[in-house]
Amino acid sequence: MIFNWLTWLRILRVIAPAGVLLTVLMLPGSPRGQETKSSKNGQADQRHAESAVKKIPFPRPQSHAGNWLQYHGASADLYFNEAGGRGKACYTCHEKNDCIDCHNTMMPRDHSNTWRTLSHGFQAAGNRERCSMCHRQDYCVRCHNETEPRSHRGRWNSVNFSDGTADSPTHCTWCHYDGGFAPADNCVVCHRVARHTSAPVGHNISSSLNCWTAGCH
Amino acid sequence: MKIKNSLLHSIFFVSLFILFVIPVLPPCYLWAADAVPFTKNTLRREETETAFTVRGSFSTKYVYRTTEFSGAQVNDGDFFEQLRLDVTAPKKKDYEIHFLGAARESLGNDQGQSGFSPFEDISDTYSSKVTGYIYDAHLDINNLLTFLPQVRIGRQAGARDEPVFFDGIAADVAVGRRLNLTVYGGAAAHFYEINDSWGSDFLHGAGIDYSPFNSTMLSLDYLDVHDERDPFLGADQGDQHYSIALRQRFTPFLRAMAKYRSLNKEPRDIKARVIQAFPEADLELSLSYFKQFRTQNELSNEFSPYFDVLGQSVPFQSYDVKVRKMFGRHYALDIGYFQRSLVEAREENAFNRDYKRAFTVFEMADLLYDGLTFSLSGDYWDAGERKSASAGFDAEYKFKNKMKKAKIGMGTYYNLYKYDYYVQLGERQKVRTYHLNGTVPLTKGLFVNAKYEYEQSIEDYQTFKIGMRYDF
Repeated sequence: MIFNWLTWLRILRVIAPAGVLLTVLMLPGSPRGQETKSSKNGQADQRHAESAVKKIPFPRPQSHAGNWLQYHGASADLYFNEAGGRGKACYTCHEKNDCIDCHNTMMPRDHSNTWRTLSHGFQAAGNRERCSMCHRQDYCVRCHNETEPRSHRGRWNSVNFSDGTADSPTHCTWCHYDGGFAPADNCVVCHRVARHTSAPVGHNISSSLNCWTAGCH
Repeated sequence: MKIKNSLLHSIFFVSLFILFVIPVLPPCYLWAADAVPFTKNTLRREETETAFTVRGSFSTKYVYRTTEFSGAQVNDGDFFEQLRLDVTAPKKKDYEIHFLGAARESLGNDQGQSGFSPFEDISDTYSSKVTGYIYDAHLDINNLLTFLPQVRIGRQAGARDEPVFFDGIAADVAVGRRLNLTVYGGAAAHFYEINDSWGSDFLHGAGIDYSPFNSTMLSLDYLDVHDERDPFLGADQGDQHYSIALRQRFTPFLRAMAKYRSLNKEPRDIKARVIQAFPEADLELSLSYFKQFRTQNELSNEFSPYFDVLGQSVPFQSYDVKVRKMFGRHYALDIGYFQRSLVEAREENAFNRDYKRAFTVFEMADLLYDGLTFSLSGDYWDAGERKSASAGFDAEYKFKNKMKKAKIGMGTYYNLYKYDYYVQLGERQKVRTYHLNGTVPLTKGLFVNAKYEYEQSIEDYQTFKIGMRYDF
């Protein structure tokens, strides 16, 4: 059998990064509070311990170090509902209101002004489960029920005769073509029924927008 | 639940009263999770002489936003408050009171707008400038009877796993040493429902936790919801929800759970999750799987909260992997990957998409000085033709001044959206955000905080927040 070094090179290119990653991940860690500290850090921690021990009789769990805030959702479910006592581990330090306290008042960092006016639909489209972590019933419809989106301005709903030529309102192409074959089905967020006089009677727009698959168009 | 002005103003003034009266009360210790090594000199929770202790927090915040829109400078101001109270009886332990409420006052004249406004948000959809929400307000009676460890009366959230709010009663019943039963019911609370009338929606449920072994817990749940709908939109909605969950701790560092839910006697979804920690390597690994079996059409508010906007949810499955690794006491790394796949690819539409998300966060703590932390984060979403990427950098410095903790932070965050269907402004939309914030303690438990944020996007927003928080 001829040794095909190219084949082995390809395999190595796949395995090597995985091996390096695995090695890095399994490097011995130094849990906070248990490692040998430098004298400076040791003194600081000692002072901290002396002051803190007067307040809190429990050690901070090792799991809460580092980027715990980003990770806590992954383990909260299991630890909160662990066998042997519902919420026992969490309630040692946390109050019952702590979850709802944060999840109702502290917004994720991507919830900026642009997120509010423009971008939130992008992720709600793919991951409504993420929204439901904090946003309770009927949150969306409250705003969408009464406020027009940013696009509904200018020539959106009118015909421009100012230059002597008839120009289509921009909403025609937006809704019916959207630059492709599929209609811009986000229209149904607010419009459940086509309001044109040219539309057939009872021409309702469904939330799934099966214009083609239903056999109508 | 919207609160009438008179009631809200009462709450507002009571809050202020609490703010200025509480500081002169005998000091209470704050029970929060803070960093402290365990020592033999550990003190027990201090038992006070008083019959009741009051803990909680009050926070207030003023937010000012300004931007240039349609050639004119526009601005908006809002005032936020939150009050949390946990009243307990440390000695007798017979009664507890828990309260969590928030209020907001819009200082601009932007109620009930129909056109686009750069500052439009949910509080502007109410006719009143002042809105309030009560999330929790319940009285807990402990050990009322030998088989009743706790009875809760009032507004409460999540008596069991499902995130429901209701005004009613819940009771924990100790059936046996290894078997606990919870029953609950009352009027459903829908905070944002447009035509909400209290008592028209109601729910009741029950759940059992059975631990045959110390490391095993089996849970059975039942929830029945009745949701009154607008007669123009359809008939009232009633749903029955059942679930069974098994939680198992295999070793101290390996835990797993599986949960199956059915809705109206049809399979709804299944979820499985495993968490494994490797203490020697300072490594934690989480794996999750979820599958929704059937198309979810309009249901009660509790079960399909976004149907009116997003429409039906078609079957999908998702995989979620998270890895968390610490390198010594200075470095921490998070890596995560999430994939959502429709069971039937042809069913993809605007609000039911296949997508992938990957993220990473790298944190460097106490590297140059104690209390100085740097973090880098990156996030990537891929939903076919719609993609987005974001990256962030933050620096935070916590320091002590006369035993009072203060912190300052600064950072930037960058978002890139490949496509967004709300505007026709080209293929890519960039958002850059810069922020500067600080928290300064004034006295024990009283903090003043401020934040400035500059956001470059279609509009350039400037946001200034200043507030205070008092923990007692």
